[in-house]
Amino acid sequence: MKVTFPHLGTMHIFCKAIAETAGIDYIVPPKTSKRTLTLGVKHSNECICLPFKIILGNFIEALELGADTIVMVGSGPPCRLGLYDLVQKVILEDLGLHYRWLTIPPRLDWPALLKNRDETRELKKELSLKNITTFPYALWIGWKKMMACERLEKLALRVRAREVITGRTEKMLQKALAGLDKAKTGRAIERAIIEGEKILGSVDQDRGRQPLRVAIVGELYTVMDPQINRGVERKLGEMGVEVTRTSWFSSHILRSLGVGRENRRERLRYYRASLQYLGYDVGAECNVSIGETILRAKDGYDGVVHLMPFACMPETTASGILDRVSRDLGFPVLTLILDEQENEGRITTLLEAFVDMLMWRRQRFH
Amino acid sequence: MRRIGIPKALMYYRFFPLWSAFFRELGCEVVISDPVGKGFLGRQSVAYFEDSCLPMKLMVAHCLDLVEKVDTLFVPRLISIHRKYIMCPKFRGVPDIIKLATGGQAEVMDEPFDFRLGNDPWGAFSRAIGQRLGWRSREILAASRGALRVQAKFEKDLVRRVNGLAIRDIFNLERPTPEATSPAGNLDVALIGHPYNLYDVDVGKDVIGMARELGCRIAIADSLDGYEIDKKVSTLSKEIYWSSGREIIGAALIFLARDDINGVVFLSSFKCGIDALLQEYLKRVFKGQRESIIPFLTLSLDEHTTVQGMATRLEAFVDICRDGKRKDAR
Ligand code: SF4
Ligand code: SF4
Repeated sequence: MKVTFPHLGTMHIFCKAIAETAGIDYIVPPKTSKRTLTLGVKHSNECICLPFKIILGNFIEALELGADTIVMVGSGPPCRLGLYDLVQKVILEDLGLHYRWLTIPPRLDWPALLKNRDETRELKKELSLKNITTFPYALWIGWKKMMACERLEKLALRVRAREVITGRTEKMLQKALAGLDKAKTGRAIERAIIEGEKILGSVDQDRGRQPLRVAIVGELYTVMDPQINRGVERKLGEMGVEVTRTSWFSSHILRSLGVGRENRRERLRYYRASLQYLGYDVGAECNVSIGETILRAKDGYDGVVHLMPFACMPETTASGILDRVSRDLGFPVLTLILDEQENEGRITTLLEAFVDMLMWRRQRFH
Repeated sequence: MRRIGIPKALMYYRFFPLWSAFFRELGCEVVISDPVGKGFLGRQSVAYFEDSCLPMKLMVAHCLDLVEKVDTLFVPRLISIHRKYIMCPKFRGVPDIIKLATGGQAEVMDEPFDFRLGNDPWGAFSRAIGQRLGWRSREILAASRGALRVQAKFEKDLVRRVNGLAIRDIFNLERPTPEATSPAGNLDVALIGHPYNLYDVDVGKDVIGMARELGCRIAIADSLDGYEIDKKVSTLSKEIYWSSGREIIGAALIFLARDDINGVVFLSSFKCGIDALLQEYLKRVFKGQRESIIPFLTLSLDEHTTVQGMATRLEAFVDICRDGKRKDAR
C-alpha cells in the first residue's frame, strides 16, 4: 500500500511525517506544476473550483508514480468542497486509474462511518499492528510539524517585508522548511524550529522600515496554497508589505474538530462583524472574508486582498458585498479572481498598482 | 392595499403558486416583475452579482424592476426547502445583496426559510410573514393552508402544463391546466436542471417550446416519485446535500434506466457551482452506460447564449434521439 495526499501549501510536509512515522509507504505528489494544472483542467470544466483541479492533478500525478491509496480530508455542506471526492472518484475511474480512496470524515458520525465501512475493512487487512499502534504518535508528530511549519511561515511574513535583498527570505524559508522536513522525532522538530528561526534571522533586514500592513482573506485553499494564488503572499511581501492571514491548516483543522478556544473566538468575532452586511452564515469563508475586512479596517490595516477562484460560490457573494464595505469604510479592498489561464504578469501588475495606491494613501493621510 | 412584489426569478419558478396564493388570501396585491429581456446587463445594477451565475444576476434585475412599483419586496432567505437537504449557498446571501442593490427604496421581506427546522416549517414561516403584515394567527393559518392546496394542485398539474401551455403561461395561474396532453409528440425527451433554467425564458430561451416544436413530449423530474429519486441518490458513495443537486442527479439516473425515454437534456447555468460539478459526474455516468443508447446533452446557459445557437444544438440532438429510437424498434 502506498498512500498519497494533495500537495497544498506545506501539507505534504506533515502528511509525509505522519505516514513515515507510522511506517506506512507513501508517495508525495510532484510539486504542483503547469502539468498538474493542465491535467486537472483537462478532466474537469472551467467553472469547477480551481482547488479541485489542482488536487485532481496532484492525484493523477501521484497515481502515475505508483501510489494506490488516496487520503483526503472530507468536508461537509454547504459548499462544493464536501463533494470533491464524489466527482474526483468518477473522473479517476474514467481515466482507468486504479486506487483506493480514504475519506477522513470531517465529523465522526454514523452515516459517515457507514459510507466508509468497506474502505475501513479493506484497510485493516493491509495495516500491521505496528502501523496501528504507532498511529497516535504519528499524528502527534504530524501536528507538531504542521505547527512548526506555520511558525516559520509566519516569521517569514514579517522578515520578507523588511528584507534588503529581494527574494532572500523565500530562499531561507525553503531552507528552513527543508531542515524541518528531515526532523524525525519531537526533539528533532524543536531543534529544527530553532535552527530555522536562526536561518530566517540571518536575512538582512531594514529594521527602520514601516511596512504597509495587508490582510489576505478569501477561499481557504486559495489563500493557503501559493500555486493556486500564484504567489500573492510572496509578491506582496517582496513589495515591502507585511502580510497577515487567518487561514492556516491548524486553524481549519481546529475548527472542524470543534476545539481551540482562541481560534473559535477569533472566528466568531469575524462572523459577528459580518452580520452587519450579511444576515446569515453563507458557508465556507464568506462571512469571515467580510467580517475580517471590517475588523482589519478598524485595526488600522492599510488594505485587504480578497482571493477567490473563478466561479466560487460563497466568495462571489462576498465580493459583491466587499465592494460595498470598501466604499462605506473608505478602505481599499482588492479582489483577485483566479483561474487556470492566469498569467502571473497580470497578478503582479494588479498588486503593484494596489500597493502604490496604499503607499499614496499612507503618505497623504499620515 | 399593500403591494407585495415577487421577483420573477429563482425559486419563483417553483413556489410562485404558494407564495402568491398566500399573499392574496391575506389581502395583499401581488405584483410580478416584467421579463427583463435583452440589455439588462448594461445597467449598473448587476454590479452586485457581476461574477455570478445568470439566474442570480437576473434576480437583481427583477428586484430593481419592481422596487418602484411596490411597498415590499418578497425575497425570502431560502436556506433549505427539504427536510434534510439544503439550497445552494448563494441563496443565503440573496436578501443582503438585494438590500444593497435597491438601497432601501422598498422594504425587503427576508424571513429565513429553513425546512429542516421544527415540525411545521412552512407554518412557522407563514406565521412570521403574516404577523409582519399585521394579521392574527387564525387568519394566517387559513391562508397558509389554502396556499398549500393551491401549490399541491399546481405541482400535480405541472407536467401537463409544461406539455400543453406556452412557456409564459406555465406559471400564469389564470390559465387553466389543459386536459390530458395531446399526443402530438412521438419522442420522449427528459429535461433536467434547476427550475429557473427550465422555465425562465431569459435563462433557458424556451427550450421547452423548442423541443415541443420538434415533436418531443417533455418529461421532467417533477413527474417522478420523490422518494424514488432520493433512494437512487443515496446509493452514491457520498451523500449529495443540495436538494436541487439530488433532484438533478436522481432524475438523470432514473431516466437513464428507462426505456420510454429517448434522450436526456441537462440545462446548466454557466458559473453555477453545482451544475459544473454535477455535469462532470453525469457526463461520465452516461458515458459508462453507452449500451443503453440514451443520448445526453448538456446545454450551458449564460447571457451570451442565443436562441439560434440553442435551436441548432437541440435539433441535432433530437435527430440523434430519433435514430436511437428507430434502432430500438427494429
Ligand atoms: S469555497 Fe469556492 S473554491 Fe471552495 S469549494 Fe466552495 S466554491 Fe469551491
Ligand atoms: S444553484 Fe447554481 S444557478 Fe442556482 S443560484 Fe446556485 S450557483 Fe446559481
